[in-house]
Amino acid sequence: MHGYTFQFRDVLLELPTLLDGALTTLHISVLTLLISFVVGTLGALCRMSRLPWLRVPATWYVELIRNTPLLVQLFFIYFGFSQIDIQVSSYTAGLIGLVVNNAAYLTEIIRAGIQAIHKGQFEAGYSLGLSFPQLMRYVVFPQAFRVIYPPMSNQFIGIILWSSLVSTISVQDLALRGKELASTTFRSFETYAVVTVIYVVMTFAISATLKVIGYRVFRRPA
Amino acid sequence: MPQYVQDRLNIYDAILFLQGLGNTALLCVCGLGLGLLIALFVGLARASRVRWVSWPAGLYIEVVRDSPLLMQLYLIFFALPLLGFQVPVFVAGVATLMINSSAFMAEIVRAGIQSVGRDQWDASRSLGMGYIQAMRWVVMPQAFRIMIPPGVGLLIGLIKDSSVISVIGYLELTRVGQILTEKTFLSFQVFGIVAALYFFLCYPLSRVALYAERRLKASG
Amino acid sequence: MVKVTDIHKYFGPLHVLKGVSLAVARGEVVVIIGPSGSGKSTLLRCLNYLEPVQSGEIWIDGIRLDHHKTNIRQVRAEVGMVFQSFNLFPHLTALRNVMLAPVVVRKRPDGEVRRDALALLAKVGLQDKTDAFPSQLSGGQQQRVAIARALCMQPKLMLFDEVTSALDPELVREVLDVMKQLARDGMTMVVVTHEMGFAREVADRVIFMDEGRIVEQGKPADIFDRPQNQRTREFLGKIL
Repeated sequence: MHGYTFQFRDVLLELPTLLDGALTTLHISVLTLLISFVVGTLGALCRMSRLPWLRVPATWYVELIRNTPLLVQLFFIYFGFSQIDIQVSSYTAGLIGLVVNNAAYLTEIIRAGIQAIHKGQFEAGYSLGLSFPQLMRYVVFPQAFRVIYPPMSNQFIGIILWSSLVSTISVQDLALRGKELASTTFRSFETYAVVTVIYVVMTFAISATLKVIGYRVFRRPA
Repeated sequence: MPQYVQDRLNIYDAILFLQGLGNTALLCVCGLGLGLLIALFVGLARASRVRWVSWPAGLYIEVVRDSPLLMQLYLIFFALPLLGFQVPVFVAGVATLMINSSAFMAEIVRAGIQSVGRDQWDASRSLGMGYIQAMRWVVMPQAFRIMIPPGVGLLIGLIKDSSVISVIGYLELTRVGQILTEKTFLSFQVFGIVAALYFFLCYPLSRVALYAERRLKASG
Repeated sequence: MVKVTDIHKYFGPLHVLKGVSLAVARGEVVVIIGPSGSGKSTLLRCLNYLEPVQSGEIWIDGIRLDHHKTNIRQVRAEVGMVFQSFNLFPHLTALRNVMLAPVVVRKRPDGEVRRDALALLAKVGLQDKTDAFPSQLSGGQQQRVAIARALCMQPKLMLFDEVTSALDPELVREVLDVMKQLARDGMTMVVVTHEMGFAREVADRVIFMDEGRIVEQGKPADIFDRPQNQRTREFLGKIL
């Protein structure tokens, strides 16, 4: 070890700063999930549409996003905005990037959820005179949500972890606060160890909470 | 391409793009190969019924999967020098991808092994095979089929994840994009090309994964 | 009430309905029988526009289906349909299943619909199961909820698509009894079924279909006791 002694004191003194960054991480992650859910729902409906001018672009959007790295998408958006002289904050650019990325995955999750619903449910709804939006609102989504919930929970954990990449376009999240702290304390390893622990605890706690909520909500028979 | 792009992106940049593509591929091949090796052991441990074997493996998998790749990279990049190794960025990058992918792959290995029914074990044992023989000749060949679709999916993830290694300055595809953006300020074009090259690597693989999955479903 | 003239229906290359014409009067109970694959279920589904037809006309209560000016949902709201596989909404209680469409489609007030729904559930003998979820009900009970659900829209016409085929034998009667009561109350009904006893007892008219055509129709006694057509005789010979 060449006499290296671990020294966590300086890092732990700055814990409030790190937790402030964690708050930003949570903030951007929750917003990403909510907006992506709306976009993903529209995406899923387009993906399943019989109209080619809705279906084909939606399909290519999903394929394009899922086959390129998030980091490249973030750079494309962040530096792209500055190239065409549009002023956006790095937070906004980061949020847009995360939404564009995650909405593609949610599109597929929601589509699978809707497709898991039996054809008879659609027929029963239509035969009662329900319109397409009514059918979606009252019959399909309540049932699909049960199917969608577990993969969407996983996706949310993924959003929290991958949102660390927005630190590369200078969003003040947990990862960036850690990086700054590492360079002022010269305790890189200790800093990143603490930051990693915060991430692990955060995702662990959230995924456990989501499981309990899911169990409570969906305990009713299906 | 429009005229102004040609003015500032030249043939040497094309070579740089290709070099980045090659380095990305190199990172992924090394990361995947080594990751597979670790995953095999961790996955076997995870599938074990002995608790003090399966539990540490489970912890390893959980911690790696519940922490950001970027933090894993920083930790490795800054930890290795503390242990007295001065390592090139390439080694730090491969080590990170190896550890990260091994955790995900271990779960695939575990799921594959556990998908093979107990009766296959019983049959092998009754023929006088030991654990390793049964695993090698009976269980693994069957589990392998199940592991292919998620395995290919993991490779796609690995290719995309390798872009993160650009952060410590290794000259892979995304790093090339950053350098050329700084030089030309043509971020849309440069990152458009970078994205296209990633797509060129990943899209065929995602078709393969889809095909393999459908075939597996069809065969029951 | 229902007028169908010369409809043709294809599933890809498969010619399922080969020129079917049919008229059903108000208050009439028509039972359609025939071997599987004869197109009888398809015909029923066409009456609700769950399947579009390639040619021919379908009129329900003076409104033509498959016409660009027709609001198909309005027609469907007037036509009740009961399915072989019940198709209850699993996330809603029996009561909520019955109440959904009147509240959402007809925009009727909640309290009023609740009264109607409870009355209908009592009518089908399920007054003590109103808060049960479909998964907690037997097949026969589920099917009776499905009938109540369709009735709560106050339909002018009821379609029954092999509604007892998925039921255990001992549960068939409770569903048929509800349908008999409905027929006695004067509901216009088109019923596809394999229950010949029901057809004989309840039908005003029996229609025998085979290979996408109406082969023979008439009073139940005529069809069952004096079938004219060779194919009808063969079919009845096999199942009776």
